[in-house]
Amino acid sequence: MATRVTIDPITRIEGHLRIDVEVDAGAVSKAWASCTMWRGIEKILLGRDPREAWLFAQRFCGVCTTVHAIASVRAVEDALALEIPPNAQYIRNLVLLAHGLHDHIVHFYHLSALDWVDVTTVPAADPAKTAALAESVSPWPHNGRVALAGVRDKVKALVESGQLGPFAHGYWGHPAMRLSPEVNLLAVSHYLQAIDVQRKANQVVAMLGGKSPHIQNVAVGGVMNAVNLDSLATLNVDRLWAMKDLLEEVVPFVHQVYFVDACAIAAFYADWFGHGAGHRSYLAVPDLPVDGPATSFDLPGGTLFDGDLATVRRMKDWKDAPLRKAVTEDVTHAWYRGKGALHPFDGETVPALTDWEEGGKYSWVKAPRYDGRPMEVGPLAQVLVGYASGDPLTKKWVDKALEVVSGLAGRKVGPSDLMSTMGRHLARAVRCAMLAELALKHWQLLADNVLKGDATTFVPPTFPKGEVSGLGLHEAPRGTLSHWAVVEAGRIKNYQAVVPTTWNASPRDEKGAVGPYEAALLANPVADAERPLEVLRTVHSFDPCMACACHTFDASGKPVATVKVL
Amino acid sequence: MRLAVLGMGNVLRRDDGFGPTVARRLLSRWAFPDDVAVEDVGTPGLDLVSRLVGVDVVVAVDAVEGGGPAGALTTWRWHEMPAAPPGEPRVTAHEADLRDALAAATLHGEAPREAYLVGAVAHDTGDGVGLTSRVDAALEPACRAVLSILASHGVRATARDGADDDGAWWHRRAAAG
Repeated sequence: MATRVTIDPITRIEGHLRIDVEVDAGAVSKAWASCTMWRGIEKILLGRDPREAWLFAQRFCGVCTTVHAIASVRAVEDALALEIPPNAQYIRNLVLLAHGLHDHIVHFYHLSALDWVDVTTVPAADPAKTAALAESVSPWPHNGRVALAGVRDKVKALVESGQLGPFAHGYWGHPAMRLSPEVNLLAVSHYLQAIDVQRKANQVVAMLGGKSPHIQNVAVGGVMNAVNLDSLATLNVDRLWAMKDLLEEVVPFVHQVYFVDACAIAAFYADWFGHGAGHRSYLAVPDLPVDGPATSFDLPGGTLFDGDLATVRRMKDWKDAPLRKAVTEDVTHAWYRGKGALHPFDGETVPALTDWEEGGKYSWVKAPRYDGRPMEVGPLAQVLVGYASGDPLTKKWVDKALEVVSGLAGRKVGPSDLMSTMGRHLARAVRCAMLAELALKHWQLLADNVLKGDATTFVPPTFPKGEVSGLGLHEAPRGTLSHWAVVEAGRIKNYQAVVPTTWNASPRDEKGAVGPYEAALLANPVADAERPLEVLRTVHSFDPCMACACHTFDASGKPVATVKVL
Repeated sequence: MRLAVLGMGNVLRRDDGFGPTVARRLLSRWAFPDDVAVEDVGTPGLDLVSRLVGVDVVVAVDAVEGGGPAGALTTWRWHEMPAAPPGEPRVTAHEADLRDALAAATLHGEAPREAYLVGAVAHDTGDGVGLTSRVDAALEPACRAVLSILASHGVRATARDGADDDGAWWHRRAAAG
């Protein structure tokens, strides 16, 4: 008989992602992903000046502020067919790269890793053995025995105090946790180092953006950074090289620590290459333009269907006509008026809240579709599309990851194994390793261009009297982000943001086709319905970032989440 | 000594914008010494940890749910902050809160010595820009509460002459054209 499990975080935020699964004979037989918070925040932009839309758009989300700012100005520039100067592309690219590095490091160590690393075993670890193990897999110089003993003692004090602090929300001692105390110690020590490293990446965002979160330097038409090599107050040689120094501290951490840890965890839990595949249809868009008019890109985009690498269609650029036609959002099972699908330019966001209804409406997230099909977005999609279309940088890091994992796991792990829960974590590490390399490249592109005397960063926009519409694309840390703006006489007439988690957390559509989370959860093992760690592993592998948040502090001490078994 | 005043919340969700609005008002009406950082940090989730590391005293300003009528202002010290029961899992990265972030900073080893939360009870956290009237009325007392905490740590802010702008750009609309 099937058991129904509901995971519903309530927190001081009014709840965002609720997962319902039916568990039959130790495996998920049905799944529903539901966003329990209103997601029509774009309406706030209607009637506003499109030149200031990005300032509001970057408040959609507290974690990924920069991505919304840049997608927004790209949408308006697309509507105006406005080409921006090369410096503006490079500065935006560096902001996006530094943000991506920061984001992937934070989310791996502070959210995902804790599904695989049992912190409470750390007190039993032997630091000397941990140091020897670390040295066998990575040249990173900060894995010494003495430092590791210090970390072990700190964790020991924490565990003995009974107040687990940052680790209070894990399923400790769960039978599905299988790493040795030594591996767990190494991971926790890197968790602590990650706090310092991600801060350096974020400093680069702040140096170019003026502050972080909420960068202040973008504009429709380019960026507002003044470039003058002879001025102390502008982007000059000192600042350029200060950013390079910061990036040169972040890059080795990504290559020697994060990438290696992800490979090691993947090898120890290689059975998770067999769970969580889902639809196996993927979407990514090109990003990091290397020229002003955005005709050539360093990150590849395209589509790939049904797990078949041979079906890949590479998108040359953001003008891609099939993409612009193919995207729709279906509201049949979402709490909005009507049923069926509309193109984002014609999108409506009129709330129609009902109860949570299994066969009816059950989520605030609309169901985005590509030519009517649900698509997974995110690092796995980015990496598979790049790999299938022969992108050399993607191939280099995928091949390296597969080689390391196969060696450690003692069995062959191939590209199609990536289509899984563990594959998503590995793909995120691959993508982050690529971003680290590209951060140094785009720093160089900016430095070279500035040093040869080009100080232009902005082209003023002009708005026509009539109606124009534009698409702003960005391949964000969690996947394809698109802002769709309709502008009439210099005012925003319609605005829809189709965000990565909307693709992945989408509910069923008019045809009853389930969304990517829902598909990936099917057949997922669940050993203990009271503690559904395996369900969280698969959901976390997508790195959900739901509600683009509200942040009231709960003064009444309500629980962080509830798990209900019926 | 380094001090940080962090205005937390989302300015697109009415009263949830209380923290950022207090931060902006403080910045526009008072001048602070260099070792005090007053920031509108939005809704940082897990990113909050790195804001706390290396800071000696942190004052967070946030909207709170429950605990009194709309606009009621309370100041908690670190260990008095209402605690959520542990045990259940996190589903997304938005759920890390101030207490978790302080605990992570402690484990890291460079946590603030003291932390305060200045909270005003929210009335409406739906989509929209601007505070409801009773929460708006708590802005000035909240600024005073922050300044008095800073003063207790020996920090003097200087009032800017004739400054009455609240500094919150999101309350303004761009001129047509």
